[in-house]
Amino acid sequence: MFRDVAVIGCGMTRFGRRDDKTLMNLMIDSSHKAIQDANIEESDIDALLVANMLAEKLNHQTLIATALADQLGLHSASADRIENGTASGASAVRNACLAIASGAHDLVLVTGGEKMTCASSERITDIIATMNHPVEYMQGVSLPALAAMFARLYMRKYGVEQKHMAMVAVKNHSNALKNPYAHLRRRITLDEMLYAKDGEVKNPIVAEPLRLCDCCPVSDGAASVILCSAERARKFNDTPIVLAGFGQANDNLGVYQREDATILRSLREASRQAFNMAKLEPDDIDVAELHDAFTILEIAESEDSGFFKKGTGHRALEDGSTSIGGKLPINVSGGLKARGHPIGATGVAQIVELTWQLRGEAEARQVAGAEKAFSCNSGGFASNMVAFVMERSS
Amino acid sequence: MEKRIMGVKCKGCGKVFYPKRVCCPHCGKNVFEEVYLGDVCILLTFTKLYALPEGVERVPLVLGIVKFANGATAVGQITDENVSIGMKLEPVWGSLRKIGGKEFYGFRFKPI
Repeated sequence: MFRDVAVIGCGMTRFGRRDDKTLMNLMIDSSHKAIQDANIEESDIDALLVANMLAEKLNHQTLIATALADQLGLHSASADRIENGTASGASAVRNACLAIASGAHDLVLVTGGEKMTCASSERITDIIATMNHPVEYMQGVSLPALAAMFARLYMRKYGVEQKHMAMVAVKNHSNALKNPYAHLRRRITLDEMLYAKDGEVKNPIVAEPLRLCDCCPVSDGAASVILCSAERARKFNDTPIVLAGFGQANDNLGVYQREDATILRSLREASRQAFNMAKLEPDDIDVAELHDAFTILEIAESEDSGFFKKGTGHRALEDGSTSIGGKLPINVSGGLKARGHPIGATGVAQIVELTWQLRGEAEARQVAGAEKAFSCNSGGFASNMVAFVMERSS
Repeated sequence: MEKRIMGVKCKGCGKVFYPKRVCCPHCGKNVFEEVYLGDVCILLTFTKLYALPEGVERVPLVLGIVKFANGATAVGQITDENVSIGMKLEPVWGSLRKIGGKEFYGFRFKPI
């Protein structure tokens, strides 16, 4: 009944501190790159979805989908903004899939963007904390605070140690060195991660037991994809990448309200839906982009996506399974940890990276022979989760 | 009058939640009775937060997830830096933070 949906074009800006560009300019740049990559005309696009969380708070702009449509000359296309917290990007891609699958739209541009480095870290921390349960927010519980309390539970229950979290950061920083679009292109060492002195500027404690290097940076950037029906995709592109499955689910908004807070229930369900729709299993996946806003989350997500048994994600990390060349490379782009996390762009950038991987265009960080991929993008602290399974069409 | 920390008990399955809500996440029923959570709770996990959000001034901000004998869980500031998992705490009313310059109050947790 539904039409299959494919990615025919993608593009992104360099992530990082982008004082040289406005939010709109970043989104125009990534949109243009995707349009060129798809080899289409602007007039072919009949819908635009913009993923963004904070434009009215940080950039003094609302109705930004219309603003972007106007800049791109998309006056006869529909234009909507999707705000779904830190999962805005993947939510927008999922909504584009629904629009195309249903037949309502034929060719959709999804652009996610955020410009965050203009605000102080206290302000950003507070604004992002508004995603939390109101009881958490009122108490001053920030996202790093949730990740820290989660990490402590995880360490006690599954024997995860500080060094495992550090290993995620070291791996993802190393991957980002091979990604010209990444925000943090700096090699870090386990020693630096583990033995930095308290109060040392380089890697201070943010929320015990998490240090700065356990947390993703605040970034500016934009990413875009162009989607159409898989049937039509071949007219534009020799190697369309099919969004074979997607899923989305929620958990209790308050992390403290979860029966076993170490289980990411939203991800288990979103992942189950995505694999069911794609008729694939976690074992089929060659490369994955997970929502590593905090290092502990990559470990937990590698389990609750279905790749590793609960409580063994840190072992897989330790034995190299999740490094490039391993059984399932995770966050080869550098992830949120090192590619950066311009919120609205993140979920879209995951799809961009995986499209490059499945096309074989990821250059120095290419996972050899990758044919099937998985992504998850988290809204809040795994309160809302959007997952995708992607496949190179044969 | 002294403030008491109140939650709701689901009349369908008996689970207790804080704060009140309209639908039970456990059994889906929507009839609750208001109940007192208790004088004592146990610390399940905690953090000391050094990167504070705007409006919060205590450094480090000690935060924890607690559990009451009736099963209800809550989250909040802890009044002391000497904390350990499993320790007993009591809810105490106090100032939490500022939002837009205005002071907000709620339950904090004090080691017994």
